[in-house]
Amino acid sequence: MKTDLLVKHIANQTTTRETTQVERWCAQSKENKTDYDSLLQTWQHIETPTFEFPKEQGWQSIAQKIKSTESSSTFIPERSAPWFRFRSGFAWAGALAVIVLLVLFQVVPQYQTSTLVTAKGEQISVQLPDGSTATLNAGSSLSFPKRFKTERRVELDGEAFFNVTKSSKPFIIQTGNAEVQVLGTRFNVWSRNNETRVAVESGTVSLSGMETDSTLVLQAGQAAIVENGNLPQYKPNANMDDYLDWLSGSLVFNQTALSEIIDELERQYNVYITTENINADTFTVTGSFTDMPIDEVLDTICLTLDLRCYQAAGMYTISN
Amino acid sequence: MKAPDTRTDRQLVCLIRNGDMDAFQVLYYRYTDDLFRFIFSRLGDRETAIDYVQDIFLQIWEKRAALNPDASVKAYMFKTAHNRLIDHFRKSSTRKTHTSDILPDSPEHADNPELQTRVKIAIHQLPEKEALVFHLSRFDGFSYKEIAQICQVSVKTVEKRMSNALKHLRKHILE
Repeated sequence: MKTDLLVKHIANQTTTRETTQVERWCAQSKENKTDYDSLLQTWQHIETPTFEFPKEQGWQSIAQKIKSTESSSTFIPERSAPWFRFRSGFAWAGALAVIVLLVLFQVVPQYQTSTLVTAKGEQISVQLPDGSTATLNAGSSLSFPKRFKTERRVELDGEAFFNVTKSSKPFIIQTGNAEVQVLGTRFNVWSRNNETRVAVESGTVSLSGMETDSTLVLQAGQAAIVENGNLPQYKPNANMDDYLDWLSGSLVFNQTALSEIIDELERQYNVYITTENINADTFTVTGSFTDMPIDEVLDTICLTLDLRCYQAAGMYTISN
Repeated sequence: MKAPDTRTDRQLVCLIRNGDMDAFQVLYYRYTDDLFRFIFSRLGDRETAIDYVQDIFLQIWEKRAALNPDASVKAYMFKTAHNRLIDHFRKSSTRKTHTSDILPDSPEHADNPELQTRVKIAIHQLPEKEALVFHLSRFDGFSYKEIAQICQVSVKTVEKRMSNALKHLRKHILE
């Protein structure tokens, strides 16, 4: 066997098939095993040296240089360049996608509202007038005033992760059926089809339904849901990763209805998906997909649910 | 001390693209040690290594709008560092000379000074191209594909250099 492959295995770079190959080769004879072990031992003998960089000092110098070159850093809404989460899936349509996936950023006169809309297959981060940031998932919109007065109120339709700067002015997110209020923290809001889901990464968030006076207080690591403007309810045993993984390019489903998954896939991949002879509400899927082409995602889902999927007339169809 | 930040590089890049200095600081604290080790171990000059690390971060900030959240920002920084080093060696005729002094004593081998010396000498004698590839894999955890991008060679070349490096090291450490 070539040393290249053994070293590749030691460096943890082999594919599953190659790993099996190496394991088989090692099991073949004592000499083979000794050869492999000596390479592994060498690798392990070489420890990673640690160096402490003078970070405090270094950062101060960097921050100073940046501030001196950007003396007036007022909020200027920029038209962000679109970029795509699933590069491989879009490779063939690259040029077309640039044209199609446009950011609709309306900048209206002062004291009025700016609205940021993300197209399908697009995520955008924006800095709000108070320095807070919001990262919008695909197919979402966020409205905010050009300047906050007594309170910091924004309107969200879709999904966004917020990093709210600390201030005595409350930060309020209005969704179709609920209100989320905070003073400064990091959390995710999902609001679609008259349902609102909130997950808190750090800090404290209060959540109330539009048609009730009752308020729920969420701490870090907690999640809650509001349906149809009713009473907010905690999600027991919430896993933060399920709510936040979209920020790192993953699609996570945890007993999620197929109908909801289809909506999400349509937004993320900018495709059309229909169903035939099945009720998409009755199937649920658990699993996560990272940077996988849409065909593979659909194949995996259909395989799990024992359904069929085909592509015709520019549309995917899932049937039994 | 800053509390460890759990945001992924990708999230940070998204924020940095929008001018978020706080996210930029997190990135800075996350990677200066690694970048410094990489540059210092090839250069052997502490002051210049610090300057280069600072330059790389300033360059990232200046060109933040062009950052690609889908590409590894860590690999991007190492690639920039690698190019900077190539420039450096092109201008001055000095090559790395003191690798054995640069590698600090490893606590794992403290009770075996003989092994420690052998490890140092073995690394010191590694040809530059192989040492580079080996460092990136062993110390910085890059994949072969990322190393290929950083060094601007093919993945096959990375494989070849890695196996040469390990064979060389084995010869000097175990025999």
